[in-house]
Amino acid sequence: MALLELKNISKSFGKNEVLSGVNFSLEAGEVHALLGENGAGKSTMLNIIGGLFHSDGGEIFFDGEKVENNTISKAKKLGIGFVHQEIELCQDVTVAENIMMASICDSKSWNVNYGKIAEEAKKILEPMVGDSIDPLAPVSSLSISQQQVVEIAKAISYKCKLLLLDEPTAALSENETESLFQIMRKLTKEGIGIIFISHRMSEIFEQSDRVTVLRDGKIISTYRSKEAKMEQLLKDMAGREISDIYPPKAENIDYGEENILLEIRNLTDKKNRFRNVDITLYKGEILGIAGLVGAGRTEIMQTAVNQRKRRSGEVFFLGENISKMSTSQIYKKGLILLSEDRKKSGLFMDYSIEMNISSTHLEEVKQGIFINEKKEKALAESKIEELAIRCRGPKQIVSTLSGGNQQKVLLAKLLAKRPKAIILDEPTRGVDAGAKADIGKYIRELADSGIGVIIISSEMNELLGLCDRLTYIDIDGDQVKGKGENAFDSDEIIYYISGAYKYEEVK
Amino acid sequence: MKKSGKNLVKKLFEKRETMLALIVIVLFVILALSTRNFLKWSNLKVIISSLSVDGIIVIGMTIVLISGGIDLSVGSTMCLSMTVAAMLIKTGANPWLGSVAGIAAAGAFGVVLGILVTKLHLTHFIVSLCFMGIARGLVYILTSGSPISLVQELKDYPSFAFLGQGTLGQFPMAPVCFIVIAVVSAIYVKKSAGMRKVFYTGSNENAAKYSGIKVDKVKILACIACAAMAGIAGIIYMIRYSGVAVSAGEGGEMVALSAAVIGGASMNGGKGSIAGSVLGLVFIVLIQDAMTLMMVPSYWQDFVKYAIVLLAVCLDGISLNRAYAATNK
Repeated sequence: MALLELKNISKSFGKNEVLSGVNFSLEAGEVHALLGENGAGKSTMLNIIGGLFHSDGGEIFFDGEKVENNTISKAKKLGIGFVHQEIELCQDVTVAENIMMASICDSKSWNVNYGKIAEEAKKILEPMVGDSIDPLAPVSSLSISQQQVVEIAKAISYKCKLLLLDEPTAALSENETESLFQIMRKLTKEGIGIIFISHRMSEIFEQSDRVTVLRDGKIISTYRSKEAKMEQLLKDMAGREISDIYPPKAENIDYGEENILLEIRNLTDKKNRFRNVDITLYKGEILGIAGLVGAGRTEIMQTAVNQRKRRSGEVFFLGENISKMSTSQIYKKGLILLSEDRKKSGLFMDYSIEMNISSTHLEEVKQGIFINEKKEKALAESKIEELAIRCRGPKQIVSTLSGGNQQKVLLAKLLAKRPKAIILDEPTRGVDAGAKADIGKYIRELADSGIGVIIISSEMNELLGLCDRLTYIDIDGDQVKGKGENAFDSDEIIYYISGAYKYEEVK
Repeated sequence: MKKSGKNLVKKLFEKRETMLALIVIVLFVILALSTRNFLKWSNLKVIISSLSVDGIIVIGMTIVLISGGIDLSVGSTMCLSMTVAAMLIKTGANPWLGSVAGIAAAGAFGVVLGILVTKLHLTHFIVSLCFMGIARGLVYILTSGSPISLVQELKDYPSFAFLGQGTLGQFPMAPVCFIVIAVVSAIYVKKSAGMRKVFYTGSNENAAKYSGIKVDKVKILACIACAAMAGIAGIIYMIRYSGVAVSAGEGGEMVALSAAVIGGASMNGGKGSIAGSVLGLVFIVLIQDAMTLMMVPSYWQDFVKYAIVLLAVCLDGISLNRAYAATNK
């Protein structure tokens, strides 16, 4: 009998269907990997099992019994432990209290026996990491990987039978990852089932018993990991053909030296997340940085514009050495980085489209000290048309727009500064197909007007369909030199960015 | 796009200002019908006069709230402003210059508050709470706790005294000053490009920064605007009462804050309007007057007043929750 069984699970957020007809099973003592592109529904699936979300339809069976009205505390009591993507610990509280938090809360006793709690926490920690973590130390004094261990200890503290791990290795180094896997193996020997999400192909082959591919909220396939073929998994993940949603590529880009906009030479960051990266961007082209989440793509670009500290290397923009300039100086020179978190750092969510757009155009819509409402509206309307923003009008509040249209507003806002080169970090994450096409078309128009564009993306279609050239960053943060310059295909991309080329060599 | 009349009405009702205006009118009518003295000019004069000092403070408070901050020291800085002005006038200084000095003294608190908040990343709440005590303490130190009378001095400068004591026909001057300030600032808050930056900063500081707005400068200026408004209110108070009482303005911060919140300003920044805040204040004053006229025991008055404020804050919280739910799918 399976430890966990999902039958026909479906889930929608508004009109957006994120899971439909999901059937899934997990045996006791099994490690089952979930694979899929961003937005495929992997995290949603774990959140439903863990009681964070209610499914709209379908049934969950755990340990032979049907789970009804699942909640976080109910899932915990059933023995489902959940380690989230982000570390969610109380930083100023001791390790022991963090681990035992659930049982402290449940205890009927009127005081807390800290000595006993420390002892019990120790019992959980010891088999995993020996005595390298002091139960009485505050969590803030631990390294990220030790905190990850504490998260796992917390998850299994409560008679855990099933452990859910949402990208547990994204933030870990190689050694840390290895010790995490040792812990996972120990747990499975005790009969605990584990579901884990990962983007790292090599991990999946080495660590899991079975692997299931999700795409667009549906289960596409399940394989025994030993029998799975890399090519097949990739095909299942990417799935759809690269339809003709993307505009035709640039035909005659002049790769002459005089057309170089941005040149990154031998860049390594202080924390060694990536090493010796070389990137050259020419006028009028779209260059894709291909890499998985956590590979250090974002960090490369942040380091290039000095939002992060570098160890070595230099950056030239329009022939000028900008390595020592501040981010805002670089911004003024005409090199703009658009971060992937549009809610946090880009948009005024409670304000209208026109108010958002005019925030970077204040000089244009000003008359004396006052805002000219007609000018403001006209500007917003022209941008709405230019970017095909789907909305009820310039007065619509941005938070009520879809993700894709929010992204378009952000682009409109940003391009007011008339940059010469832009770096877009995951410009179409969480965006529907229609908006993807609009954004793609607009980016191409920008490039055609002579702007250089760098796109950081983990979406295969975007890399294949939109970019003129690619450069590959593998999962360890190494750049694959000399590949992706002109001809590239999806198998090749995944082969390099997953680090599989290293894995194959070992094999 | 065409808007049907029905839609327009619905839109109007969604606005906090319209709702408040309606409530205020209803309250007014009820009071006029149910009590004998409400409509008497003497009573109305008390209402509008007591509005004017608090009203000027509310305007500043609204601006600092929109920027995402708060200033709890306004009641004390108001008193400090008039103390400084009165003492200078007492020593023979020109009252206009004395007033400017008083307002500058209040504004200085705004400058320091703004700098501490932006450069040391302290919270508005704690710093302004300290300033509330410090400014009041300075008043006590300067005056040794005794009131200052300016009856004679004001007689020597009738044009200055006119600001707070004169009348425009039947209408007292203090409320006229307030109305002028309110109208000017209402237009400024709603329409100016400068104020837009304050809204952007309060709504999402990071996004404002990335839009090229000098966030620190905006926040400091908002603090100064608030403190200076309190200073101006202090001067009007001083003229109106021909002197300084050391306890003047005590509790002023709560009145101003309540009025702004009832008027739709958000404690999380990015929201608020002068019209809303002034209506909020009118509402509070009417409730207060109603309780007096209806002989509600004075022990009950604070209880009722702040229960209403709490209700308004809850409304704000509910709408925030909804917005939060909407943005997070």
